[in-house]
Amino acid sequence: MIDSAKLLDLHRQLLAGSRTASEEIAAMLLAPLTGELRHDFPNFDPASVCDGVTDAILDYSANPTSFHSQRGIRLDRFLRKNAWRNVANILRGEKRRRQREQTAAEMAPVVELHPAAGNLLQDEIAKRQRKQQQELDSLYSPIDKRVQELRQGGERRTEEFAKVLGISHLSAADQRREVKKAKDRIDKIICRKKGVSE
Amino acid sequence: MNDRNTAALLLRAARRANAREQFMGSLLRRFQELEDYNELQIAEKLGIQASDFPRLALCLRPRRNNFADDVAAISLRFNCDAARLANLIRVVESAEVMQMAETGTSEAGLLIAARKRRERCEKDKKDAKDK
Repeated sequence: MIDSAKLLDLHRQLLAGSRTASEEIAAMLLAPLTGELRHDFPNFDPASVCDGVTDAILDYSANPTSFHSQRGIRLDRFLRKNAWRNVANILRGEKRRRQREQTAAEMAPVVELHPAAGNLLQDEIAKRQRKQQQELDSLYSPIDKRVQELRQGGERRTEEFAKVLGISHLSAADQRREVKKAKDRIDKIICRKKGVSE
Repeated sequence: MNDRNTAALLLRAARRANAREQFMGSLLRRFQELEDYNELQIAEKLGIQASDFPRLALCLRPRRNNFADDVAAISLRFNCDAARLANLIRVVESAEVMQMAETGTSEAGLLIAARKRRERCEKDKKDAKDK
């Protein structure tokens, strides 16, 4: 419950030049006003709601003459109204930013898919996939195929290749040597097949 | 809302006040930058509770024409040493004045320039009259 009389007294102190009344007003109103506005903007970021309330209190504290107690409106209602406007402005800004981002995202693929240029990225991917499939087709051994699949997937750890080759029981140095041998052998087979097909 | 929430909200508000020249927060932030202090160290230097730091930042900055009374009121509110608080503010204000002098945007500098021109005009008129 907000103590209106105390709040009005703090307003008078602020008008008289008090340096500490702003802090007391903030401590008194920040939590209740933020709570109220979170109900008004339930799906909006609570931190932004708090910023809207803070700005209303700071603006008023820096310029207390903006509030006229004679007009019959309570200070907390006056600040709530200003805070609501601040939060609505932040929300509008957010919406505009999102809209701009969405428009930019919609515009981007148009350039990439222009018929004159062709879809370079997709062409590239298709070409790579074809090449990888050809490499796998040229291998007979299922173990070699599995090793090659790992390489095509970007695997570089010796332990993973060792598992496929069934040499995990060997020492690290031996594993490295055997994996290298297998890779060299696979490269040679692929190279030979390529030479025959070309 | 509980006390913890209120403290968190006050902390966020204080950070926002740091960007506004009219508030103590801007002085405290500037002092932090100048002296490479953190909030805890400043609170310790001033002899206030660390939990009071955001509330101090939300106070209005002392006025130049009422500096001593304003500092006394703030220090009374937070039960801190007025001399230390005054010293902190003076350090920041001196730095601000020096910075303004370097960039040539000092208000005082502009006033001096205006006064000089007027003085020169008056002197010229006086010289013309004498002749």
